[in-house]
Amino acid sequence: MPRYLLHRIAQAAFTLFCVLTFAFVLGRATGKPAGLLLPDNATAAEVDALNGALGFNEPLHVQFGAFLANVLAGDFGQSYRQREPALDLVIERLPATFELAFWSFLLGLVLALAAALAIQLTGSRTLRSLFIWGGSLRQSVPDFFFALLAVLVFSVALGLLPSLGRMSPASLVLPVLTIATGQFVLYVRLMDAALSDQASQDYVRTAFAKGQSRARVLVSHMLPNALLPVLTMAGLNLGSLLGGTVVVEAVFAWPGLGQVLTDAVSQRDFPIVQAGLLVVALIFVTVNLAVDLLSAKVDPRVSLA
Amino acid sequence: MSPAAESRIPLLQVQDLAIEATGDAGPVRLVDGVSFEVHQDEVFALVGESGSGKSLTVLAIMDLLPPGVRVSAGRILFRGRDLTKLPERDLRRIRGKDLAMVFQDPMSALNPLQRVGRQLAEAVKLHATGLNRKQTAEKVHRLLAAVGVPDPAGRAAAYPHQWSGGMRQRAMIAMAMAHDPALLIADEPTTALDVTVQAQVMDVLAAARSRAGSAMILITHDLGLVAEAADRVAVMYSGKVVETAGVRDLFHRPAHPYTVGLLASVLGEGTAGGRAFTIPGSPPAAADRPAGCAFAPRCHASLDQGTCTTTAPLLELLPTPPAGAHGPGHPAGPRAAACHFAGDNAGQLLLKGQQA
Repeated sequence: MPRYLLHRIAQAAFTLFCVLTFAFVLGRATGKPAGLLLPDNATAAEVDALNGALGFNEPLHVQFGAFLANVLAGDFGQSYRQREPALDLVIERLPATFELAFWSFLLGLVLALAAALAIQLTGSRTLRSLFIWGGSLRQSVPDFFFALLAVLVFSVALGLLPSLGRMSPASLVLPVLTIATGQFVLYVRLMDAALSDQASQDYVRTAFAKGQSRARVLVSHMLPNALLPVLTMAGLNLGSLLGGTVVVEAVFAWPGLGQVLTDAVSQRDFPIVQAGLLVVALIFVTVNLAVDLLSAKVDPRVSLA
Repeated sequence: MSPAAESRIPLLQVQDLAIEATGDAGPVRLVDGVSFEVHQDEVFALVGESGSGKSLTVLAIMDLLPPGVRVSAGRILFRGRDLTKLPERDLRRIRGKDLAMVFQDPMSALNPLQRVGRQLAEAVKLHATGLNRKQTAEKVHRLLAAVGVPDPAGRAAAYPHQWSGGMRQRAMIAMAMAHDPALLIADEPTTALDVTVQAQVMDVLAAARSRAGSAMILITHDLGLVAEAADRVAVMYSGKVVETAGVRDLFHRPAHPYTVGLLASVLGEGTAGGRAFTIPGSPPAAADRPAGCAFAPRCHASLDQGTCTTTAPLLELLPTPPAGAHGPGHPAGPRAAACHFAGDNAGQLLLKGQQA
C-alpha cells in the first residue's frame, strides 16, 4: 500500500509536469505579452523594454527553468491585468466551483440511483424507457441552451429563482439543475445496465434462496456490485466538474474556476491560465487517486500492490 | 408397490409440471409434464444430459426460475401446500428454512464483496429471531465447523476469493443446512469442483443431510454418484421424465432405451476394444422436438417402429419385479418408464442396435 501510493504520487508528479510544460509552451507560442499590457500608443522600444523586464527576451530554456523554479516555490507570477498573484486569483474561485460541482454531482447521482432502483424494483419497461428517453432528450439539448430555457421559465416568467450570480442558496438551484440533469442519463444507463447484469448473477440467486426479500437483495447484494463500474465514471465526471464547468458558469455568471479561466484566456492573462491549469490538473489527479483507493476499499479482490 | 412406501405421505409431490420460456416465436416448453415424488429421508436423484430440464425443475420448486421462464402448468406440493400458488411472502418463509439449495458453481454462488461469514449470518438471521450478533456468529462458526472447515472463525472473516472451490462448496452446504431443511436440493454440487475434492464434498453433503434428517434431491449426470448416494432415480430426457425406479432396479434392469444407453456409456457394455458406448446424435432443442417420442431419432430400439415417431409414450408403471430381487431395507418402489417398448429386454435391443 505505501509503495502503491508512492508510485501513484510519482505518476501524478509526472502528469503535473506535463501539464506545466504544455501551459508554458502555449503561453509562449502566442507571442510576448507586453503589447497587451501597455496602452495602444506605446512605442516598440517601450514594449521591448517591458518584455525584457518580464523575462520574455531570454532564451526559451532559461525561461522554462525560471518558470519551473518559481512554480516549485508556489509563485505563478502576477496576473497581467489584476496585478495580483495569479495563484491567489485562481484559489479564491475554488469555493464557488466546489460548491456547484458538489451539489450537481450529488443531485445527478442521487436522481439516477433513485431512477435505477425504481426500474429494478418495479421491473417496469415503461419506467426504464421513460427515464432513459427523458434523460437522453435532456442530454441532447446543449447545456447553455437548457440553462437559458431554465432562466426563461423560472426567473423571467415565474420570477421564482435568481438567474445570475452567487448571492443566496437559491442561486445554486438553476446551475445545479442544469448540470445534474445533463449527467442524469449517463448514470441511469450505467446503473441500469449494471443492475440488470447483477440480476442474473449466481450469488443473487443464492440470496433469494436464503429467503431474502427482493428489496434487500437489491440493496445489499446487487447495488454494491453494480456501483463498481459507476464509481470509475463518477470519479471522472466529478474531476471535470471540479475543474470548472465553463459553459454553465458563463451563462449564470457563476464566479468559479471556469469563469476565471475563460476570462484569462480571452485576455491572454497567462499567469492565471498556467496557475488554473495546474490547479485543475491537481484536482483531477487527486480525484482519480481517491476513486482507485475507494474501489479497492469496496472490492476486496482489487489489490493495491 | 410395497406397503411401506405406500403408507408414507410424500414430502414433495411434483405433478405434471410444465415450464415455458417466452420466445420470439411464442412460448417454448422446456419442461413438459414432469411428475415425481420425494419422501421424507430419501435421496432422490434426477439424472439426465445438460438441457434435459432437471435444473429448471428444481429451480421451479425453489421459485428461482430465471426471468422470462415460468411454470405454465402443474402443481408442486410441499407438505401438501402448492408452492406455485403460494404468495411470495409465504414462499420466502419456506425458502432457506424448510427448502434449501446447494448450487452447481460455488465460485459464483457467493457474493464477492461480502465476507463469507456475513453471507452465512444472513441465512441464519432470516429464519431465526432473537439472535444477537454474537449468537449469530457462533452459529455460523458451528455450521462451518460441521462441514469440516478448519478455523471457522478465521475463515468466516475472509472473502470468497480467499477460499478454495471445495471450501466454498462446503460453505454453501453450511448455508443450506442453517435451519436443518426438510428438503435439500443439490444441483450438481460437485461438477464444478476438482476431481480430488469431489468425493470429500459429497461425503460432507451426505453427512450433513443425514444429521439433519433432510430428504434430498440430487441432480447429477454422474451415475457413479447415483449408485452410491441415491435411493430412487428419475431419468430426464428433453424435458420429460422417461424412467423412474429404485436405484437397484435402474442399474440392474433399466427399462427405457435411453437409460440403457446412459448406463452403457458409463459401464462400457456392449462395446469392443474397451471404448465406452456413446448414444448416437444429440438431444433435440426444446423448440423442435420431434412428434412422438423425443428420443426416437437416437433410439436403438425404435428402428422401424412407426409408433415411436407418431405417438408420445406416457410414463407408465411397469410390472413389479419378483420379490427378493432387492436386498433387505431397500423397498422396490414403483418402476415406471415412458417407452412403447419398455421392458427388461431393452438391453438386448441395445446390443442388436450396436451390431447393425
